[in-house]
Amino acid sequence: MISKILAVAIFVLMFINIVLGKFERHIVTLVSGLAMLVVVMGICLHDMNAIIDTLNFKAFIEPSFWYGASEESFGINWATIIFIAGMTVMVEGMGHTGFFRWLCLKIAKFTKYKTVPLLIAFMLMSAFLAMFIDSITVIMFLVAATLELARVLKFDPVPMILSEIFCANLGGSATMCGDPPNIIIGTSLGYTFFDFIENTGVIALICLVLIVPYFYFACRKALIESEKNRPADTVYPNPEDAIENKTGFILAVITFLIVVVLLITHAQTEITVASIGVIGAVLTLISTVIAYNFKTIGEVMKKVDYKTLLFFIGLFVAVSGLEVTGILEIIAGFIAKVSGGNVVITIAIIIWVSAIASAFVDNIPFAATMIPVIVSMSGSTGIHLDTLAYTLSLGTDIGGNATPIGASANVVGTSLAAKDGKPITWGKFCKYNAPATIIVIAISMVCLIIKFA
Amino acid sequence: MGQVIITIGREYGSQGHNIAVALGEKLGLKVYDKSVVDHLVEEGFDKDIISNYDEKKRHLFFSQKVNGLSNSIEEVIAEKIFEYEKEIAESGESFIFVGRCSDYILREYPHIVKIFIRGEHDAKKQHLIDDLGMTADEAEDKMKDMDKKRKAYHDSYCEYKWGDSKAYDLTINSSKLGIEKTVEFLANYIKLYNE
Repeated sequence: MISKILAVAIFVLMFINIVLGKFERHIVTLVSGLAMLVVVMGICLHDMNAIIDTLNFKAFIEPSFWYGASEESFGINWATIIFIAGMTVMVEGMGHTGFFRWLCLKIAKFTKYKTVPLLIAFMLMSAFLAMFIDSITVIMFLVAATLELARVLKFDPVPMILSEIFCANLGGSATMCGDPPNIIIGTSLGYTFFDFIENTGVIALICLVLIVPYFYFACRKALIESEKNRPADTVYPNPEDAIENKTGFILAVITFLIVVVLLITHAQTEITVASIGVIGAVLTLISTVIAYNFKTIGEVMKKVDYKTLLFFIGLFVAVSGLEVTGILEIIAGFIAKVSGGNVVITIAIIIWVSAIASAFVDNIPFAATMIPVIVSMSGSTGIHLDTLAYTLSLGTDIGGNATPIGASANVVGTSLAAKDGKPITWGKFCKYNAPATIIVIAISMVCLIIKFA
Repeated sequence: MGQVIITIGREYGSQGHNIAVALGEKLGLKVYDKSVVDHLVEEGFDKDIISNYDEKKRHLFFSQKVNGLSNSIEEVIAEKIFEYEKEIAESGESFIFVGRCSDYILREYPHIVKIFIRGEHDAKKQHLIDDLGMTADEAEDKMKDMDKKRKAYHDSYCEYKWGDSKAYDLTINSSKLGIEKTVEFLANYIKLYNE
């Protein structure tokens, strides 16, 4: 009993500290994870095997970690860590060559700098890129380009930024590698890229088709008005000027395409996402040496967000502490009791609880905690695990759209806007994005019920 | 005379701002106070938004930080003001800066004089009633509220506490000497420091 109480206390304390943000979040999860290992598993449970299983170092020497059919995992999900690390290196390498800025400016040129087509094009691009690249990077470059274009084209960038953030989170929900909760769900439960595309991907596409008109009608008037104020002698930015290094640029695009193909085909090739992460990173580093020199590798590696990787490691340990003490089974039992094992009620509970929770707290720890819960629920209620997993994925990914703190992309987007003199208040953010979130969650719920009930 | 940077922290109602303005006139130094808002307006910020979020601590629950980027409007404005403080200091100009953590942000500059102005509770209250037309209750509430906000703002960015004598070169009670003599005292202090 004492181990359960301590595990919950450590976990709740961790969550509160993540929400408050007083300490850096990787410090919070690492300290919490260490406390789980030492206090809960070591001192209370005297369970050395639980500690070894949680650290999960043996995963690296198992051939299936690198090649073969995906399996469910316990403890630190090293596949997620390696994949994210690899993708981060690749994305940093791409950014270094000027790829993202070039892409944004090229699309702006393609729309002939007309603001309404630009809004739609940037929304679609945001959703598409976020399917393969982390939404923070997508938003970082897209918002920077939007602010730059807003200065030149004299329009209010805020509604466009809000639509881009929404679409980045929506696009991220479509694939296994789009959003961190999906990577964790996919690697923990052994799903493939195509499993996600067939389930969350189709639903995300339906939502995107409906949400583009929503933002079009919400922003149209202001954007069209602004075009009238544009000076006749406006000098438009040249996309080609964005390219920092032509060879590096071409190699970065090739690397990106290789990684996308590997991700799409990984169920057939049986190359795991961990291996794809390593391949992406290695190809990027080789490209960097070819295009620049060895020294530039240091510059690219310096930009890799190690803190996020440490955050994940601590988080997985903390969640394992809850799992070994049986707390998550109790939560699963409670949800199963409330829903009475009814698929429709279960989908409704999971998607709305996940969405509301993700709107206010970090969706990554929430998803990581809920995975063992849905596994347990699936066992006790007989509801297929796929149903629960995709419901959890959509709830956590899309729910984060409702508030400025709901997802990392929201924080980065609103921060960049504020630094540029265009602060986005909670009121403004929620006015555009909260109704859109409710609409999309409702549509997703209906789709899930039609598909699985 | 080389560069001198005077930072003035102040309790609400202690007339720290009036003292800064008078000291600036006496020493021929430019005073930066709420006017820093104009600089941010030039950078594209909305004046009303800055006024709403200036000198306020970030809400822990309503904002987040990702990869060093904060979406707290209070924090973004604070950082912009801190950058501006450093920009002015770098220009080599001698100046007086009122509040906004300038005592901490500019601490590395060699010729900085950090002053904190406090006042007696009753004297501060009387000033707010007589000069700003507040009722006694309004003055009481405003003093409590403003000092709480300034302390929270200062302490969230600085390593030491707002008003703690150890953090300043001079902490002075403006109620003892009144505005005029306090200004004279401070001007003499600065002159002696420069000798």
